[in-house]
Amino acid sequence: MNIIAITACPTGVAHTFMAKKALENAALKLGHNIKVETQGATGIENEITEEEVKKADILILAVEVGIAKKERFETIKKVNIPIATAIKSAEALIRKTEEKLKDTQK
Amino acid sequence: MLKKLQQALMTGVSYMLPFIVIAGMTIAVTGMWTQYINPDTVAINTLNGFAWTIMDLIPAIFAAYVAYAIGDKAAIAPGFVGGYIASQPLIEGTAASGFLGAMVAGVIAGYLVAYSKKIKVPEFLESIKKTLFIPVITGWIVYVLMTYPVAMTIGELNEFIINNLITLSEAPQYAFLLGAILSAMCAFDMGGPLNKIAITFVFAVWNDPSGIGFVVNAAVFPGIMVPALSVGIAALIAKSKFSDEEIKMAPPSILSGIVGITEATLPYAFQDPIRVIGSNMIGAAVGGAIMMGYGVSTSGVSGIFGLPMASNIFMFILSIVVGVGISVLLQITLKKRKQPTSSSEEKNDDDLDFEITI
Repeated sequence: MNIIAITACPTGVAHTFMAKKALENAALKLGHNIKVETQGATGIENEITEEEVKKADILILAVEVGIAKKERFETIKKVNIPIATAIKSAEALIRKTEEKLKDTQK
Repeated sequence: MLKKLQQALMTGVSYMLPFIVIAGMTIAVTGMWTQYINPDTVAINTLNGFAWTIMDLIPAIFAAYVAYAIGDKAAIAPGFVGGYIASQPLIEGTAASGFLGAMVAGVIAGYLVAYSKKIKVPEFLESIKKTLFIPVITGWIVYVLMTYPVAMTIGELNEFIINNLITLSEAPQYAFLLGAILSAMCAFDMGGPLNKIAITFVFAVWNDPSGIGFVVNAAVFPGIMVPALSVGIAALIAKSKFSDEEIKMAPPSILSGIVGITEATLPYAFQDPIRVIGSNMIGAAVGGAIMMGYGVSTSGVSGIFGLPMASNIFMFILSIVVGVGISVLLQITLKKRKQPTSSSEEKNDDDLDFEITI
């Protein structure tokens, strides 16, 4: 899968980046491509480009606050989860997402 | 809907935080200068006055970004307008509705804008609608609502809450309880939603002239500092009960505790939630009780930076140290010897539930 993800928490210094790391590690382990954009205390980092949105199969939103530039993602399938889920069980999240995505394509 | 509101409030808190940090730290530093060095430095006093101006703007910033999360960019202006009125009542006889009012302003502005974006107008009016109608009309509606009904009702309520808080904080037999609850809330989810509710409560009374905000502010410090400090110290003391990784993380965790980044506790809490969080909550509650029971106040924010401005430096340190002591002791006694590494990570696979949406 090509995954894009956004992480954002209210303070934007800790959870945001822990979630990014957890998602990246999990995706690597399960053999998926992932790009994680963080919207933390200093704003957008590692911004997802239009090209990447087009290529992606799924967008994972691990956010607890309203995110900036959400108009980029109007057409893509998304998963909304609490940021704690991404930190705690990123692998299970990605595996489940893959399953569900297959179900929807049937 | 509820989730959307919660997300909107968190967005408001998120964008407001840097302002609180600027205002709080400036007041802390200038206050230190006037207290210990020279009370009559004009430049310093001007800066202090300006910090209070920023403080008065905080409800406006908060409301603006609550509105933004609901109604997007166009909602920022009406949200700001409403939030400003919440902190500066415009007509005589009405009270500042403060943070509560700002919350209402943000939500109203957000939904007004979100709704008016959907109103269909002829093509040629579309651009005028965006540049003129939406900001002006929503701004006016928010103005009227905030100036009259909200100022009259929520303004009263806000005043009532603050007066009662002041009474509570002056009566040690209740104050310690409030301190304990606030601190325990912060320690419970280490930077998560409950923590933010406690902090939001602090900011809600933050700019009240009575200074009550600084008292409740001090009361959450044990909740912020105790968890990360205790897990780090406990890991270093009782090495046999923590994993190698936890021991390696201990020094940075202690440092995080000192500067007030509670989130550093999370990896420890995930491993052993009940014992770690339980110990931290008890330690933090005792610390918060001491802090507020003795009426310590501070205008500093985040960890150690609160210390120099504490009204009673000794009690401030004592409450943190006692809180950490209790939590460390509890963790060391309660924690079991570490088991051989098992992959406990994936066991909550089944309660994961979410939908794929477009």
